Amino acid sequence: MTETYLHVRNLCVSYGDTAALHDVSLDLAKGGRLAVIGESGSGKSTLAMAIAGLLPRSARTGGAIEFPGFSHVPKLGKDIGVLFQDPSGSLDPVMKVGDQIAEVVMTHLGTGWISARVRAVELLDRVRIPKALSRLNSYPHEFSGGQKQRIALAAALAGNPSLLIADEPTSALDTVVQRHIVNLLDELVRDSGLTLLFVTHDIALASERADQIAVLYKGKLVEAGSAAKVLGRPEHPYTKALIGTHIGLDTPRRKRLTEIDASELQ
Amino acid sequence: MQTRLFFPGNPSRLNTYSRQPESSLPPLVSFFLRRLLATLPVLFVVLAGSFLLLEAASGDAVDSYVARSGSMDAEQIAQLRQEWGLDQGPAYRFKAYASALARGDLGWSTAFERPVASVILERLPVTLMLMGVATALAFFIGSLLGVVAGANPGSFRDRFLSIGSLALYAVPGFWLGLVLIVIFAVDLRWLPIGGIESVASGKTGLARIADIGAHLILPVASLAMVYLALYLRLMRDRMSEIWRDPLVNALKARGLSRGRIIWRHVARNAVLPVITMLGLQAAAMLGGSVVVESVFAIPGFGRLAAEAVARRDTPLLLGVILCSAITVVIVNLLVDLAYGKLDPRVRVGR
Repeated sequence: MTETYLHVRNLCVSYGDTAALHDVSLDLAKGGRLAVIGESGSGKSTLAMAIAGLLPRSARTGGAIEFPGFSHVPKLGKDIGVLFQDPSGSLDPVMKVGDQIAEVVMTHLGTGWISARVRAVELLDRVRIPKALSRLNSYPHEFSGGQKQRIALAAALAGNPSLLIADEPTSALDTVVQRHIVNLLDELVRDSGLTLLFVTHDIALASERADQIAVLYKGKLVEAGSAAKVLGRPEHPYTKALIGTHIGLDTPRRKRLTEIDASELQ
Repeated sequence: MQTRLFFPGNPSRLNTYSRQPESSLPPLVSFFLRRLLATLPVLFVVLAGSFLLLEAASGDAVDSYVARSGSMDAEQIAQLRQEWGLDQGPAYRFKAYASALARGDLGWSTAFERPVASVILERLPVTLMLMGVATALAFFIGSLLGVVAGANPGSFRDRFLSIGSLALYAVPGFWLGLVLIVIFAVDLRWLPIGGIESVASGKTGLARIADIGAHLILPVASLAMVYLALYLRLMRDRMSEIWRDPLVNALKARGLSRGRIIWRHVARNAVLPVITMLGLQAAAMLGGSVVVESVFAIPGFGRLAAEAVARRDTPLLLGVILCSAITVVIVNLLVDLAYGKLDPRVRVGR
């Protein structure tokens, strides 16, 4: 049995009278890759933000989130890196990308300005920004959407975190770029032994890249387990329905798309 | 010949659209000149309008002169009218003024009995100094306090500063000036009551600069305090908007310190519209300085405009308007250049 990285125990989150998460419990092994899937409003992003500690102040939480491997509360940026959905929104439009990465390095690794900039070049190189050194002084608007997401990834990894939380990291990108980002994430996770938690509504992506899958529906965890089990032998009717809604290039063109009827799931 | 439909005229001209016009001037200078040239039609309309307004008012420069000097007979008056060109129609005089202006001559001031250019050169620096120092103070203190308020929207500090600045903004500039005079010049006797420097003090060098500085404190304070509130509120409101931006969440996720997020990111982004406001306020500052100069008896540009109207001194008034317009244009050019430096998404002069 591998070491557990993250315990989530009976987590409840509510915004005012609206419950976003209800009694969610799950474990994530060190080095594991967990995909959280579900439809819009299922609470999957709330779960990711609750683990990151980035919920808005208005949110009320119950239950516990534990990191057994840490003697202290994990620090954002240093122990946990977060990648968001919108790459343009994660970068400051009036600051050079090199500086945005270097400031994270300086904050967490305590290096000087020059070595932080050198580290920024290494990171940009790692996320495959061509000619990284010459792009250090470029501004975010000079990059494409996919490149911006790579830069945001470099900034998320700049403090050498051991957990990466990716909240729909590819939803704002086109399919070709999506694949590049996913491959890159995969590679970085394998190379540096990161633990990965990613939120997605793309079942194909989850089945390819995750070893564990958690399915959320209306704020409840309806099914969790290894990817093969959850997708191969789904137990909950919602999971079955969700798999049924998947469309790919091999789906016949005239086929009517499957809809999920909420009344059948009660 | 389908293409002719889309590109009428000489096809060889097409190249000029894709190429930068070649110029021996540095790009910054040619940018300045182009912007100044673009404002020429506006300047012309403003000048013609002011000329007509002054023409429509009853009385002329000679009437005003006679009223001041007291004893003049009809023959002398007619002679003076002829001398100043007032026996001619307005169309003739405007043409004469425009053609002199085209040669760089601003004309003769009947009120001061000196060339308009020399009167303006004497008064303009005083007002520019007053405006410049007041704008700089209002901008820096205003946006600094705006950051303090905007760092934590809704906090006690924010509410205190927001309400305080609103109260300050509601106070008329001249009243603030009078209150400052009563407190600091009359009661406490710390500062001079008015004027720009001590009369016949014989001071030179640093002592003279210190003397002018002491005279400027109260007018600058009363002019700056009103505009300070504007920058404070703009900075604060923009910051409270940016706090709700996904960017802030991303920065928090990178574990950056709160101070760094406030100063390097939120305030840095919020300052951009404040810079734009700085340019727009240059014109209002000129207007505000008319009032403050009257309260503090400062021989500046604003008072000069008032005197020119009172004395029906058309060339002087037109000269004042022309110089004010050029000042506002130049200030806005500088603001545009600064904006281009501060916002990499905008580049001016290309």
